[in-house]
Amino acid sequence: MIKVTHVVKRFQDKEVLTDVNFTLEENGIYGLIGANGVGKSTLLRLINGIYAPDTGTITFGKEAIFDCSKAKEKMFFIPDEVYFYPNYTLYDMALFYDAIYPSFNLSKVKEMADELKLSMEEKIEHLSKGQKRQCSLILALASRCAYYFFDETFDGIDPVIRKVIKKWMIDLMVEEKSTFLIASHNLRELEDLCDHLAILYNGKILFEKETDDLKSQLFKVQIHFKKDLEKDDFASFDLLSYQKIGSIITLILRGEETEVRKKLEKMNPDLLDFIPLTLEEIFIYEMEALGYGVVE
Amino acid sequence: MLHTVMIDYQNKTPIYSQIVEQIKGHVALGILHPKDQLPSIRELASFLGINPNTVKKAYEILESEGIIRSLSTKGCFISEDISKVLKEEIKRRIKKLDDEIKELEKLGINRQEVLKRLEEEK
Repeated sequence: MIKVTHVVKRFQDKEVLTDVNFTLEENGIYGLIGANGVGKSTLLRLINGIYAPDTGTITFGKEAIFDCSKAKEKMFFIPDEVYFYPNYTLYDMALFYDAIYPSFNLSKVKEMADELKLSMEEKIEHLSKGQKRQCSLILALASRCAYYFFDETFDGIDPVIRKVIKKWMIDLMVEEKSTFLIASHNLRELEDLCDHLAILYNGKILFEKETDDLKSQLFKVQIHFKKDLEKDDFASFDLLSYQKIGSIITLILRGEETEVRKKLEKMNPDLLDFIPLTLEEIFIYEMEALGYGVVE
Repeated sequence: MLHTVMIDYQNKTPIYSQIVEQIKGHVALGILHPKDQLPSIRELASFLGINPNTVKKAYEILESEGIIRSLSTKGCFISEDISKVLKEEIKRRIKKLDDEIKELEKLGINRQEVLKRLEEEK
């Protein structure tokens, strides 16, 4: 388990992270969402012990990660701008990581490169942007680590390759109980893969929830009554938004769907429609409920 | 045989409940039989390209409802007694029909009228 507790990080006089609290449990896929420049990469660098926090702690088990090579052996970080040594081939890079990570599996590199039709002998700098990302992903997944951190890594990877990589990640989760943290500004990229989603905003983690819970606890309801009802008539509901256009009322409600439906039906509406929300809409409403503006 | 389910990614129903509902449906319809083996968590997760924890959650729900049995080393199997699933599926569909009739009643035709019209349709 990796635990981030009350972490603050400043650069010169700019406070990027004001108070971050976050826990990564073993064997999950976490999505970290936030607008550009909100501090996602800074947070990833802090967790991976590249920066030291100004205040607060980041621990792997009981150990502080910064300066702890035992912890770092179990973590692999792909930064937003991947780096390879000049003139190195995929094979050279694999040898390099093999020397660093005790659990590195050299034969896996060959296996994965073959599947993606990447050459082990070609200089990485001659490859395209997407292929470079594929190389970094192969090297990461061959490390057989416990924790992986991907910073916008799926950006620029085509859907076919993405599917293959997803399969490898699933294998690692089953075989090694691995954990992934994927930072992205693109919610759709994370939706199908992550079991937890966290949003970083204004230097803090605004909320961290299971993706399924997010989806099943918030709905949009369109409702119409013969008599004229006002917002106060819905005071007993957990209401996030109320809108009345003409005689049709649109509500955003939180709660258990069957319960909410029963309660609304008792009010005798002549129209009652539950409209599912997209994850994007859910995020916007959740953010508004917390008093913040737009997500992206 | 690898029995699989289909996921509708556009559907806002959580993926785990889509899996639960489909397996229940397939059991009720006799596509899946008692003692049939389900794909392992990894197989299904890989096939659908979804998080293994999601499949695990679906299987746990099915097991708690007695629809499947998990034998630690051999995998997951459909329970021998599925009469409950069948009963529930029928109940669920009747409820759906009832909701539809209620909607029709709002349009001004009563239940008897609906049933009569249904007879005529046959």
